[in-house]
Amino acid sequence: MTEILDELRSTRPRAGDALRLQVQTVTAGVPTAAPSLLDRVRGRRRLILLVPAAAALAMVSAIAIGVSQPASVREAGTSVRADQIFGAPEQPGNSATADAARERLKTQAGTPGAPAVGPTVGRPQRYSAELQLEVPDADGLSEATQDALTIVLSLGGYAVSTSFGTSEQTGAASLVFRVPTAKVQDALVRLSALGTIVGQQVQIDDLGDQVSSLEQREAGLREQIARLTARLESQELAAEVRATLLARRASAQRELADVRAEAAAVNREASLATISLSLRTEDAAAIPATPSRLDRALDRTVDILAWEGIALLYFAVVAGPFLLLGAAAWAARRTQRRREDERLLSTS
Amino acid sequence: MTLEQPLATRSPRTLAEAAEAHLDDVLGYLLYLTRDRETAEDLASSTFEKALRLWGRFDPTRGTARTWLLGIARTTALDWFRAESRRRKREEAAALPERVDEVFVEGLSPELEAALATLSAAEREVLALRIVLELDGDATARVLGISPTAVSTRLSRALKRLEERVNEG
Repeated sequence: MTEILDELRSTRPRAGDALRLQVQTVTAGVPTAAPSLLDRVRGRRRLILLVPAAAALAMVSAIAIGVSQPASVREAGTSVRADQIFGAPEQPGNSATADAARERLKTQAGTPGAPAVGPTVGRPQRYSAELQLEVPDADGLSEATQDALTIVLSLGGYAVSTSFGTSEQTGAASLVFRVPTAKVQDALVRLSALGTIVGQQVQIDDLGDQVSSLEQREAGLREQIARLTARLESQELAAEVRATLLARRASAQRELADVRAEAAAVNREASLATISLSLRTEDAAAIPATPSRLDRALDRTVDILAWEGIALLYFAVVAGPFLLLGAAAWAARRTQRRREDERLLSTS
Repeated sequence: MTLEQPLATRSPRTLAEAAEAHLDDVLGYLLYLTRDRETAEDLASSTFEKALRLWGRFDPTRGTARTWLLGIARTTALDWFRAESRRRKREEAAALPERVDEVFVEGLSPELEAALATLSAAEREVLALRIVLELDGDATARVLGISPTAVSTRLSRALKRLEERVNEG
C-alpha cells in the first residue's frame, strides 16, 4: 500500500506550458481580492444578518415616529377622554393643551345642573347614570355622602349599596341609588352640587319595543284563552277533546301569567333609574398627570412596535406555509441533485 | 529584510497568483476525475474562467484559495459529467466509444494506471484530493460537500479497491 501511495504522490500531474499560458491570460489583470460586504455575506449568512437588521430597522422607525409625533397624538387622545367624561365635543385641530382642555371642561361640568341627558317622557326606558365627584377633604366626603342619601330619599328613591372609606385626609365613597325615573334629572342636578364633577356618564336603553311585544303577546294569549273557553262551554265535546282543550287553556294561562310578570318587571325597571355615585377627596383623586414628552414618545413607540408585531404575525400566518413549502421544495431539490451527482460519479 | 510567505500557503492577492499556485492541483484533480488529459485541461481552463467571474466573492476567512478553486473545478466537472452522460445516452445507438486516455497521468506504472481506471470517478476524486494533492480531511470534505467521516470511509474503500486491483493485475 505504501508503494502505491508513494507512486501516486510522486507522479503528481503538472500543467503543461500551453495550459499555464492560457490560464495566465485568462486571469491576468484581475484586481486584488477584496470582496464587498454584500459578496462576503451571502446565502444563510445574509439571512442571519437580515433578521436582526429588520428588527433594528423596525425599532428605529418606531422610535423615530414615536419621538416625532407623540404630542399631537396624545393631545387628541386626551380630548377624546374629556368628551367621554363631560360630553362636550372637542373641535379637531384645537391647539389647547390637554391641561387647558381639562380645566375648561372641569369648569363647565362643575356647574350645578351640568348637562346630563334625561329620560324621554312617556317612553319606557332603562336609565342608568354614573357620576364622579370630587370633594375637598375627608370631612367633605362624609358630609357629601350623607347629603346624597338625604337627596335620594327625599325624591322617593333608596340606596342599593354604599361603601365609604377614609384615611387621614383622603377617602372615597361609592353609592348606588334607585331613583324614580321621573325624578332622575332632578336627582342628578342635586347630587352634582355636592362636589366638583370629574366624570359623568349616562346610558339609556329604550324598552318600548320590549313592552309592545309583551303587550301583543298578552293580547294574543287572552284571545286564545277566550276561544278555548268558548269551545269548552259546548256540551257536545268528546271527553278526549275536552281534556286536550283544557290542557291547552291551562298552558296558555300559565304563559299569560309569565308574560304579565315579565311586563311588570320591565315596567318596574323603567320606573326606577340607577345612579352610581362615586365621591373622592381631591388628594385621592387619580387624575392622571399629563405624561411627559418622553413618556408619550415611549408610549407611541410601544404602540408602533405592537402594530409591527401584529403585521409580522399576520405576514407569518399568511406567508408562512408558502415559505415552508418553498424551503422544503428547495431542500428536496438539493438533496436530489446531490444524489444524482453521487450516482453519476459512482458510475463514471 | 522582509520574509515573503510562500505563495502556496498564504492567501493570494489576485486570481493570477492563485492560478499560479494552484493550477497543478486543479489539473491533477480533474485528471483523476475524468481520466482524460485533454478534457481535464479544458475543464481546468473553464474552472479559471468561472473563478474569474466569482473572484469578487472569494472570502479568505472562509477557506483557502486552493479549496475554493477545487470546489469550482468539481462543479465544472460535474456539469461535464452530466453533459457526457446525456451525450452517451444519445450516442449509445451509434456505439461510439467513451474517450479516455490509456495513460492519463504521466509516470504511473501500467498496473496502477489500469487499477485506477477500474475505480469510479467518486473513488478517484477522493484519492486525488487526499493522496495526490494531500488535502486534509476537512478541506476535502468541503470540496466534496460531505462530512469528514464520509471522506475517511470513501478513501479507505477506494484504497482497498485500488490495492486489490493492483494485486490482481
